Amino acid sequence: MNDRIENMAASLGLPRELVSGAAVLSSFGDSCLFIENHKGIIEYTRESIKLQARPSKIRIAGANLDIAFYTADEIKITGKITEICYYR
Amino acid sequence: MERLFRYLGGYLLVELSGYSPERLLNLCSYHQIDLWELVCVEGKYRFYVRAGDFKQMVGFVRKSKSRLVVLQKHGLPFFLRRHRRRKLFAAGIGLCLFLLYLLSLRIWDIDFDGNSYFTDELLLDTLSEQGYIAGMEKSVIVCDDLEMMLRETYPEITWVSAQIRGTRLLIQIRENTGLLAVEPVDETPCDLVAACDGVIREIVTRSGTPLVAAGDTVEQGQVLVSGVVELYNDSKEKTGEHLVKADATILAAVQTQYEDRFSLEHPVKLHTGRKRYRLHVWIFEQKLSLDGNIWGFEVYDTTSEQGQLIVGEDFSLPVRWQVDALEEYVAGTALYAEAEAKALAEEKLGRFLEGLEKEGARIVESEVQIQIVGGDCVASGLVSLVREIGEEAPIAGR
Repeated sequence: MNDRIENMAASLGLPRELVSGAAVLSSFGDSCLFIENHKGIIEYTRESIKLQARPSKIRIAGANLDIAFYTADEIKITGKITEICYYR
Repeated sequence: MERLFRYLGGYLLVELSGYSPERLLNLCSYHQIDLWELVCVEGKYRFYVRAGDFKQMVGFVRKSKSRLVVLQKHGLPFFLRRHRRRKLFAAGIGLCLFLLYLLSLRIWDIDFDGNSYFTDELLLDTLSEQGYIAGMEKSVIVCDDLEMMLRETYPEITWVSAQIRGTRLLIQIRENTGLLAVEPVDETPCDLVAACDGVIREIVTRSGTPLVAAGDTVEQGQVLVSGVVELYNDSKEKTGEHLVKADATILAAVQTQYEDRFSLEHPVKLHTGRKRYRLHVWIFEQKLSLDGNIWGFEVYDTTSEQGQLIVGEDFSLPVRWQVDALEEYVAGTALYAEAEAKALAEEKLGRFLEGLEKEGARIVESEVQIQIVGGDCVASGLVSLVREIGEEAPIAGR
């Protein structure tokens, strides 16, 4: 179903993430990470942040992880990021 | 801008703890409550939230079984509440803002750009004669009139642009660097005589009768080109004379005696290390001088630095200052070392030769010797050069 919607969006020239609601990650080196389209925080410690997202959950591991801002659409994580992992 | 809005609305540093703090965070994001600088400290979360949003958050606390503690309050509403009893302080802030507003209605600095021939002081004097002074109201200034006035007063100024920026009046100027008027040519008949002794190297006559040729030795005052042109008929008989203004390029080899003598002993300033400062402050063009104690300073060097109070880039305020640093010295004497004296003498000779070259002369040879004689440094000798020696003089015998 999702694939069909994404294909339709692609043929119409629409951004895929807009239609499918998938998380968009943009990172600046290993010190800063923007995540758009997240669905909430599952767990937060200085060493790991687990986020609810589509199509799968995201785990960010590292050291001294802070959340510079947290809004309904975006989250900005700063600190030393060592790992970004998708899991079900 | 975002930070300004946060400050105006007020914000809190909050500590969140309890059974499921993440749930509260998600509830916040779901209800469009922005959080920032979220940090996990010993299992508790600390973050900033707007004061308005915090009231809404309190409703979620029971739902998420967590606990919220306000650690710090920031922003204008809290500042005003803290200082609500300080009426004079508030009045002071209000008065200050009002004064700033009043000051912003006037011009406090007039700045010129692009002028080199006309000095800032001269232009300021001209403007002040027409009523454009620091402290005048901005609304009175018509930039077009000011530009026209400057152009009419100084025809050499070809372009003027005046603009008001903040409390500054900025005037940009372009000056005409070319010839402005053709000087009337004096056509009175005259001779060209030798300005000094020499040997003619080259003579090109444009008008008049040449009396010397290349290779001739001439003396100072000797007529080189006569302003009398004799007229002859076809039989080579003289029929008359015609007086003209003699004009020619006459280059001659000339020798000039160079003589310079200066004493090795020269005055020097021996700084004592004592320094005093003098402060002058102008407030609304009224001068206040705060003199440091300069008693006991007989002679001193003065170095001045000037400044003006400016907020941002263009909001000049009517407060100027000048700091004079006075450095005491004692007049003493010192002796030049031989090499030092010779270097100085060579430098002076160099300047002399440079001056001759600027006058159009070509230096052929310099036989100047520099030596130390007694307590003096003496530079003397002959300088050979080729230069223009023609000099206008009234026609001989007329």
